[in-house]
Amino acid sequence: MALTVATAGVGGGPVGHAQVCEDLVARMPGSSPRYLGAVAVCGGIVAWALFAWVYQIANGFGSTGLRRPVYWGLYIVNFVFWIGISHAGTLISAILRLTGAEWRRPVTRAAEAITVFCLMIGGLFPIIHISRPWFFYWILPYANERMLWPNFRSPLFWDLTAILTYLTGSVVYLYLPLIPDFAEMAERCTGARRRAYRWLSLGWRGSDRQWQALERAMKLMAIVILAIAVSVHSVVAYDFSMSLTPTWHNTIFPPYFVVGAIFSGIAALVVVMATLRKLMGLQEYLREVHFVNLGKLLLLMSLIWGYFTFSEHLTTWYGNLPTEMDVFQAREHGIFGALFWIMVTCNLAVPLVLLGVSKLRRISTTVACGIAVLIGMWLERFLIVIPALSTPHLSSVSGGYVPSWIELSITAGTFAAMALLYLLFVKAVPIIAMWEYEGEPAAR
Amino acid sequence: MPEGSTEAESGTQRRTPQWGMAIDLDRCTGCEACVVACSSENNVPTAGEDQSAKGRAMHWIRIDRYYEGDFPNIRVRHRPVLCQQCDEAPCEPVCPVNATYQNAEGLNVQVYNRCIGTRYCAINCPYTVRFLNWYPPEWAEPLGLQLNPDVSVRPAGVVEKCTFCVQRIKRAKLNAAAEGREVGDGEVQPACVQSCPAEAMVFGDLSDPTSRVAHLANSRRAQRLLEELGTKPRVFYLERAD
Amino acid sequence: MSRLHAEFEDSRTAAGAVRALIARGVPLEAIELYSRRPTELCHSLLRRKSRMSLVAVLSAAVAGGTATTLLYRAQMEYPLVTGGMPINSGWATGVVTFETTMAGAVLGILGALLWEGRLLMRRMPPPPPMPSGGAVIEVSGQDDTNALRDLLLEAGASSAVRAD
Repeated sequence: MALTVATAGVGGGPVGHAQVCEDLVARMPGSSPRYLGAVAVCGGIVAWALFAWVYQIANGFGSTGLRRPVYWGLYIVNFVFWIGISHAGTLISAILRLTGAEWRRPVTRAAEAITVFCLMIGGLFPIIHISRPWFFYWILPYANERMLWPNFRSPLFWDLTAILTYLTGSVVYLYLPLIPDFAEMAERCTGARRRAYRWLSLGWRGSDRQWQALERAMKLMAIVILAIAVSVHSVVAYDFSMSLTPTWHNTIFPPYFVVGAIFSGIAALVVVMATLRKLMGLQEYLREVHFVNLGKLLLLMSLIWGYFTFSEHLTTWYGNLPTEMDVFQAREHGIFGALFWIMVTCNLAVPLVLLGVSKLRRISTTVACGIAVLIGMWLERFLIVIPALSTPHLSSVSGGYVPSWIELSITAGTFAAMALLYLLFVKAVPIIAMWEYEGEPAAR
Repeated sequence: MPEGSTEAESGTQRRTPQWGMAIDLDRCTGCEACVVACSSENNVPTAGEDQSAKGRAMHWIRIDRYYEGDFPNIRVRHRPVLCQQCDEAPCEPVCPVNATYQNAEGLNVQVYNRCIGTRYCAINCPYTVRFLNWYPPEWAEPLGLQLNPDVSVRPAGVVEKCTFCVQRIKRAKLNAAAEGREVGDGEVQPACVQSCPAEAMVFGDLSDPTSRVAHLANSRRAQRLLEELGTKPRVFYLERAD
Repeated sequence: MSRLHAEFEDSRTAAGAVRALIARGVPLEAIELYSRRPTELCHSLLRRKSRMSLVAVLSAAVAGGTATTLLYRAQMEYPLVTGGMPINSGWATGVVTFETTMAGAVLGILGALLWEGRLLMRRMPPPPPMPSGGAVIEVSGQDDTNALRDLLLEAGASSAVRAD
């Protein structure tokens, strides 16, 4: 693969562990008005979204835009979208770790944090989505006096196990490489912060046993998390492909969803990295080479995504089943048709031009592609869920769907929540793993 | 387990009936008397004008209208569509909390109290006959004063659907048990069947070969809706002969 | 119990010292190398035995097995009337088996890391102060402390002190 061709090399940044630590700690945001303002804005949007959710619970589910037959709407779209983005961490970190791509070092933590935050957000959507959310725990297999168990055959129960496993795995995967950095931070702080960092470092001493155990654990975790990541988005796809709904009931969905997830994950990582680079002044760490490498990966995923999309539509068209063709036609024409072609442009045309032409491939174009792909992939999920539901088997009950202000507010709120979580994260933790950066065997 | 216990206790019911329905499309005039009867029998809330326009109207049974031919030679075909009480119901395995299941008499049962409202059953039903209670139930005046005491009122957020008037089945079984006999053919009449002026609908025990519904279900005209999906519905449509 | 701390400016000199210690017959168990970044010694001279993979596989098997058994028992002992559909299917259960197996592996790895890295242990003596670029060798439980100190100084230690 072309990934290893461009290596990080020696940048213009600080050299030596002490200087790297010093520099990265200095770049962590303080309590400047700009930072507090950003937190306030994001927090405000999140609070508004929470209000919308409370309003929905208090006033009944009818306050959403859902209707018969479109019983699943934006919440499911967002659920698939956020779980999809969470694959950023696993791909960048796990695959690049396992293949020994050294340029990954300044990138991995940003990616792993995306995974955890996106899962926290995405995992909320099934609860927001159900119309009696106060009983959501009934889906858990807990012992009770009536011996009522959840339905283990339901894809939603599989979702529960998959997401809980993925959340556990990715939190551990994010936390392990943080331990040495917590110990390092403890030495640089005083008072309560020092105690907190020391507590978080779990008694890290920097002995060779610990380094060996950590490296071994990270290698094993990379393998396990890869398997989990693939399974998680397959299970999300099973939600759709286990049903009888026209165009959902097909076998291409699990791999199609996994590819789309990795695709949108890389896009999100590029956008997050560019934002961090700009706001925290990390130009010397996150260099053009990282964006170019991720851009190549994005281009590769774009082509695979195009191939899957083409295959899916070709088989539907050729099969020419009446109920499936209804959905197909709905997706090609009218408002859905417009969205469809925007999606193809964002996911295929834009990356193909901006990243396929090597002269155009640089930081700004990669970030532009990242934004385009995020829009395109959100639309993809929308176009999978809504048209299929609005044209059911019996055409007498078909009907459209317009999301209400509540669904739009909650959707906006989740993007703000992502930004907020990231803002808090970079304040507490160096966003580039201090011990990993230039962390090759020092004696070499 | 939930079913079979009443029979076991009374000891009079020897056979477990398998309920089913036959609808003669030749007789159906599309008058929608069944829709009205169903709503009043089963305490189905009225959604009101605004909500109905938004697609929130609830009718456990509906009349699908299909038009054939070009103007002016148009034929209208009516098809009453209710829960098909599938043997291999797609709604059942997808519910994460087992709120819907098949009972021993072949009814596809919805347990309102257990429903958490994932609405997976509703999107997986190819007949789209499952309804969500978008709001706490309300009735246009004075319909709220004539609620059926035999039927529970469903709270907001749960999914509901046609039950084959399970309360009437229960009553018929109790009456029969009290008199020490079996439920006779035609003794159970769901509200839609009872109110159909054209007598297009027949309800009964499919496992009893002498019952009227079994006879009709074996007719050459009998077809089932979306049979190709393998859901094994229990509602048989006698297609129009022309 | 005697402990000896020898500070080195860079890990290459430390590697020489470790080699000298081993040649002298100091067991690997008695040597510990502290550094702020992983050193290549972790992969060569000081490579320790690890059961992490085994623990991961075992705990994965236990978790997956337990969850699958629970599922099977729950479905079989409190059966539903399904109208002909299989109540317990290997295919449907397989997804849950896979996920819980992986969850077991994650927890196994975490547990093995805590154990093998001796994290979360309260009674550990405080670590030696570490130079930012180099490494500290700790030799513990050896009788001939003075001789070892000379050996370490000879191998290039910038300082070597007893820490008791």
